[in-house]
Amino acid sequence: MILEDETLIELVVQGNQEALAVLYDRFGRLVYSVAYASVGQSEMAAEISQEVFLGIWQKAETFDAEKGKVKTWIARIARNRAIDAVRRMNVRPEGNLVNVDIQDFRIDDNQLDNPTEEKVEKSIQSSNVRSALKQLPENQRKVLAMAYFRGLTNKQIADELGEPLGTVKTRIRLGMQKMRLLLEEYRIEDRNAI
Amino acid sequence: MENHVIDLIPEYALGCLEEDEKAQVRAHLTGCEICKAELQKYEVVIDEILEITPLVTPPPEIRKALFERVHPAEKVTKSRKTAGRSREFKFPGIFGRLSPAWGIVSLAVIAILVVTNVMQLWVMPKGMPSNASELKVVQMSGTEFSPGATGILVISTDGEYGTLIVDRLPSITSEQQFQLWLIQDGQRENGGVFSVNPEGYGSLVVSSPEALDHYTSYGITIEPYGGSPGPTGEKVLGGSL
Repeated sequence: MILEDETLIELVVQGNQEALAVLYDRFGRLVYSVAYASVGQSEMAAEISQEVFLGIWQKAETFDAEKGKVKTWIARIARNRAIDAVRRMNVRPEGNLVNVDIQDFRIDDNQLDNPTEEKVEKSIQSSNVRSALKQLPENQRKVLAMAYFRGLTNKQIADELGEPLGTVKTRIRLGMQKMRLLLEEYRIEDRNAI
Repeated sequence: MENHVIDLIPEYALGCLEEDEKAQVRAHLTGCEICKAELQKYEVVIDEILEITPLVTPPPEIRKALFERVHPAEKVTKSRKTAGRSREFKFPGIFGRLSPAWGIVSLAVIAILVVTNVMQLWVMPKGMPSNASELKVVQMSGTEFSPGATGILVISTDGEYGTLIVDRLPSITSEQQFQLWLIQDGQRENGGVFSVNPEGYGSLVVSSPEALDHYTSYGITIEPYGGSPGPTGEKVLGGSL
């Protein structure tokens, strides 16, 4: 019997280590991947992964089902910790993702033991995200990637690119606004297509 | 829109604002449903981009190392400490309904112990043996960022343990916690992380490698969930021994 993610969280709240193990088997790869995408170092990504799941073990009760899915919650924790690690260590990641344009990312549809419907939904969702990213001007995509994966601030991005701060802020703002509008449009289209 | 921070929300969601702008948005969000709703829409964008992160197979040693660090006893202790937490973090089920009661009882006991020990210090006549004078109390005051915050740190006889009680700390997100810093000669050591209820009330049992009364001052900052090696966020409380 496959337990729902929220049920596993509730079991972790009650101190069930097996539930934590299932959560790790289910999302450990995602957590490691999110961490690695930012820090570019296997050892640091491994440490972040442990810290994320230790945090889940200690504070599972902080999960709020009204605010989103377990997977999203865990991935967000992983990204936040990875960004913090990059900032604290002043790491210049050498990993192969840092200089790759955000639109080149692919999704592995076989990574999880999920029901078929979820795989299809995920495939559509990732396709929508890639489509939306492709529609951004390259200069907007670039600054979004620098902020998203390396945790750089507007000023740090401006300094690195040699661009005015106001220009960077505008590109980030416009890029995020466009992503939001496009993804909302795609969601409406997908609903109407059902 | 007067006084709204709508323009800063996309960058806030992405995490690329400078600290002062971040603090400005954070403070505004505590009382603005419009900007909060806007933030949620941009957080969805961030979450969807996460979905296309290329997956990398983690080394198998991570799993083993993780479960060597997971301690059931710690889990029991932590769940009691987090009793009485914010309704914002409430989890459904009987566990969630029992915790607040435990939290209120344990905090009441701590408060009574603190008050009675502090009163003992105040009323102790001259010439009495000093065995009642060992508890030290550090009064903590709010900062410009959190002027209404208050707290006390009670340190045990031998300085090995302390109990921190705080009130009216500012609201923070679920990805953040408060962190206590023990300060000596400009060096800051971690005193522990904790969260608070909706009214900003919370407590922490503190221990450190050195006696707590060896430190000259104490501070509390807002940090990422789980804490940081050093202070990175806004300071909300401070006090000296």
